[in-house]
Amino acid sequence: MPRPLSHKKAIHEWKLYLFVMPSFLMVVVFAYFPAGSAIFHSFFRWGGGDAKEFVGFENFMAAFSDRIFLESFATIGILIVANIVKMVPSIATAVVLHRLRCERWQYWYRVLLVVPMIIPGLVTLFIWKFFFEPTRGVLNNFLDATGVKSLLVHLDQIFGWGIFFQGVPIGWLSQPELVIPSLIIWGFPWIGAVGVLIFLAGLQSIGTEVYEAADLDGVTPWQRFTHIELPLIMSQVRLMLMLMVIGTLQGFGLQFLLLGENGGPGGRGMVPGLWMFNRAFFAGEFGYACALGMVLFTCILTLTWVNNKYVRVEK
Amino acid sequence: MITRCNHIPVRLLKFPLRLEIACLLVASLGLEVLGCPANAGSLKKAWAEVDTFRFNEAVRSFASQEGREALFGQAVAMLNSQPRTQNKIREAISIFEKLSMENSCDPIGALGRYYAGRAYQLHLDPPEREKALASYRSALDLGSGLPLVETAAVSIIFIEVYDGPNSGALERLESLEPLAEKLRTQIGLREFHTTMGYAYLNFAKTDTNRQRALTHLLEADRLKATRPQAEAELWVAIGETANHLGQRETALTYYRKFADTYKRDRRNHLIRERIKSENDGK
Amino acid sequence: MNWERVSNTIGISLIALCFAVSLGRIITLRKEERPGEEGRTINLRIAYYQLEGGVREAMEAIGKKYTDLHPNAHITLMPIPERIFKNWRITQLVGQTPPDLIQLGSGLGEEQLARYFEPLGEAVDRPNPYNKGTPLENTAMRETFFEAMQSGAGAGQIEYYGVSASVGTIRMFYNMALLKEITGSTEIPKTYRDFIRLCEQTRNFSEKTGRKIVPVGGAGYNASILLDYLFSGQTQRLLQSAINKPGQLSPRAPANRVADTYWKNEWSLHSPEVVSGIELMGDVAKEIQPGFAQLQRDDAIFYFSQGSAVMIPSGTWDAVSLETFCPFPIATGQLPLPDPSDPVYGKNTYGPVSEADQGAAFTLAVPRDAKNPEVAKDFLLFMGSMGASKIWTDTSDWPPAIAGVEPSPKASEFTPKDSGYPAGFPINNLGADSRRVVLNNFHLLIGPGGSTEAFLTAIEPEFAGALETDIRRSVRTTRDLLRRTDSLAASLSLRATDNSPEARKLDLLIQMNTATERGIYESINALRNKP
Repeated sequence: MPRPLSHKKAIHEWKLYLFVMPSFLMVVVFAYFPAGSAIFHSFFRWGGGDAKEFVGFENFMAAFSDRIFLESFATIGILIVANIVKMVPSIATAVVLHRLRCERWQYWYRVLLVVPMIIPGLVTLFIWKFFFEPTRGVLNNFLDATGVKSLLVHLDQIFGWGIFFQGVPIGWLSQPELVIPSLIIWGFPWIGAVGVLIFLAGLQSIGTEVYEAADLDGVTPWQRFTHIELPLIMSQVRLMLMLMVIGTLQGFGLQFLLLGENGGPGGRGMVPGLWMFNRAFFAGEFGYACALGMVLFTCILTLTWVNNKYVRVEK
Repeated sequence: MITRCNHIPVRLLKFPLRLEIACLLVASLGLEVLGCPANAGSLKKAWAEVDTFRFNEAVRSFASQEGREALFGQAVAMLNSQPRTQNKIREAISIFEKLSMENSCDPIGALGRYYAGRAYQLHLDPPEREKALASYRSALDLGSGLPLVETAAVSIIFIEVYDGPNSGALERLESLEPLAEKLRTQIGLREFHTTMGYAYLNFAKTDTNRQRALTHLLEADRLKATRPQAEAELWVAIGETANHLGQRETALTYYRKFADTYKRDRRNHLIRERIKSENDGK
Repeated sequence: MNWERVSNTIGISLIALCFAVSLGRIITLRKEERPGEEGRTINLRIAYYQLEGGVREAMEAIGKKYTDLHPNAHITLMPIPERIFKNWRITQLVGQTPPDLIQLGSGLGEEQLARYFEPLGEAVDRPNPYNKGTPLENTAMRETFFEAMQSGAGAGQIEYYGVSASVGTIRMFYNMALLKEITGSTEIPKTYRDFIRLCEQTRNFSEKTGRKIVPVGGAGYNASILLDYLFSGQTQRLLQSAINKPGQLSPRAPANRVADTYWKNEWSLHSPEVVSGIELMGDVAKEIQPGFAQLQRDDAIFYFSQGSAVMIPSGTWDAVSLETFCPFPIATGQLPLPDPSDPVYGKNTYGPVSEADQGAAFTLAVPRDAKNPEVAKDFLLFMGSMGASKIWTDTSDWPPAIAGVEPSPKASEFTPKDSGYPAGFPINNLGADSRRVVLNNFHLLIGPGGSTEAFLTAIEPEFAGALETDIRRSVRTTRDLLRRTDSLAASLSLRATDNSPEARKLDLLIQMNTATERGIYESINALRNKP
């Protein structure tokens, strides 16, 4: 166990602090200063320029009665639930990779998983946007070619959804009913490289003796997953869950790029981050946007605390 | 005599400023010998900061100077120093009121009274309407002959007429006609008549009201607007109102002036058509 | 040699090399940029973000002409992508290291303009010396511009900072190869009905040949240009009959007056003119490529350049880029606004919307901390002369900013047409919130099974409230402007003496402030008397 550092020694070795200084300054300038500035400005009516007027808690009061902001949490709720489901393919991929017997193949699959990570996220978003394009998009062309579109039109006629029509390309991003499904479909087959690598690391840390004991007991592959692998990677699952919730709550790039600043038709794709962005850059209400950011920050903090406190991992 | 900076708010003092003040003190010795006002150069610099919207810097620069102008400048810059707080505005108002109480006969005193009104009307949030009106009225009573101070009449029209119920707006507007008697400058009168004219047009119920509007607008035009957009607006309004009232000659005169002068205005083609139709109807 | 030893020094050697190169470059730059000593070359750096085709070539040509006149001057162009330009610009301005000329626009507020840029002073009121020997030699510089230098004016329009090279107008661009294939002719539509006919022909052609071709290409950006224009045409008469009162005729519909009369029920979303405008937007929007609202400007240009659309509405600033990217000939024409003789939409319109006082494009100004401010100002005067304007249009094929300059043959179609009428009001451009309400429900108008009634029913409950939010925001923003100019007025008032420049500026500022205050109080009055 490391011994606690004495006060005298801590001062005596002052030169060591210089090594920390660059990182410390970077963190302060690029992480804490903007956050502090956002807290400060949330108490002002501020249009982004020099002029600002102190308004106390007015922005926060407005945020709590802002219908669009409050409703955007419902959309986020749906997306979080969907994202929880979308974690399954990553876990499954990690398990399959882990069970590969040939190490050389396992290595190549890992490489193949990492390669797409070098493509900027924006490019991926643009590619997906092209997938959803009504006239020339891959998705509609695929549905047309396979006859699924006709099936959907047929079902629409039976159930009266009013979404799919013969001779009219499916407007994935221009039909309000399809906005959330499109946001959920995005990223199919939902195998996130980072997630897979984290789960794989968890799986690889499981001792071989556990598997040997299980083999002796004659467990099936499914039982091996449910009784051994899944429980033993729950720490990783919890970590990914937390990162996913934070990412979903904060994120708005996907919605902005696919649907625009107003959240698309019917405002169905409006999420809190996008509303914050809308108020700042399209309504010029930067102070109010900062207050929305503070509310969002509090929500994330609370969820993280709940996750840490109540989502327990029993190994 | 060495000019002393004895009213610098301590909270505004920072090291570079102290250094600057020391330099100014030294400089003032030299200027005193030459017979120049000790802080004229620094005041010029401070006003230049106001001109370029560097209000926080201007507050500090004025605070390091002495005299009524410096104090006035400090309050004027304080109205826009950032971040804006109600306390700063109130502090500025108290300076304006103090300056006009000390001496209301010099330009600073008159401007102080006008700016107190301005701060109550436009800078405080929510505005204090009655105090603004009182300051404006007393600023006009001074008869300073300063164009800016005389625009207090314009603000009175806005507060009394526009910031109230529409019922009775015309009566309130009529009651403000005597304000013209307190105005001495061409700019003050022009702005007064322009505002009265547009207000009559805005609240008009009958052609009698519109005739009043036309009278004011014609008077405003006699006093000559120097800003092209204001002049274009005025000529179109006169032409349109006269046309509506059946005063063909006046309408045509102003339509023609507008069409010939403001060729790159979106309304030019429409006005030319009106001239043509008026001529055809002749 | 020990390889391990060599490999260990690669990193540090690279860093040392980079440092040495950077240091060398900075030293040379410093030397190049030393402000004008006798006989030394003055390097005038110009930073701009409009990277569309033609700009660079035109600026190089103007720069060359200028350096021919002033052999000790050297022009360096610094193209910066628009995405980062705003941040780059503020960093240079705050850090007191700006180039000699910077392009205005791209979110530059008037605070920054006053704080960091050098006013041109009285030069704008005097004839431009570079116009000597031209028809404009006796005209004040400001009056030689199509838009009277409004794009370069600061707060209260009492100081002018920027000089523009061009003006921007909106046109319809046609794929002539496709047009010929579909219609058998190269004649572009002249009227709204011609346009609709072309749309029908295109749809039939697409159906017959199986080729995926749409009549109008476009993203949200392009569609908004076209649809706003069409709606504004339908509200021209409504503006005069219900929104403007007798005696009022404004060049643009003021949002506060539109809101006030809406709240007082002097017009409604069911007024025939509004319904007609919505129907017109719906009719045309159905001809635009599906899902346009979610597409970006670049997507639309790509789509058009692939020959997938017969026409695309866009700004003239895209003209040269379109010419470059598209492998087919392009023609341009006016946007298809129904004229008064149109049997369906004619009754609500006066006619084409005037393009007079159209905004300028490519406006440059001199930062206060520029190294060669006097030379930079002189270059601006040169850029704003008839001669330079002619070089600009001939080289770039963009329209000239100076009135009276013959545009290049290609740019002649883009020159503002001022023989039109004031526009009405666009329903989705009255403020951020009313715009959101309209756009969020637009699918109910143009989607499958959409209708004017469904669209209006959806937006009506929210529209009045959204307008109120917009007007309140506009009051706050305009009040901030007035607050700032209040301090400026005090400064001018103390320094103004008879016929001094300060007296002239104060007079202008007072007139500007009266107009601004009237706008604020008209809004306050509307909000106060809202039923």
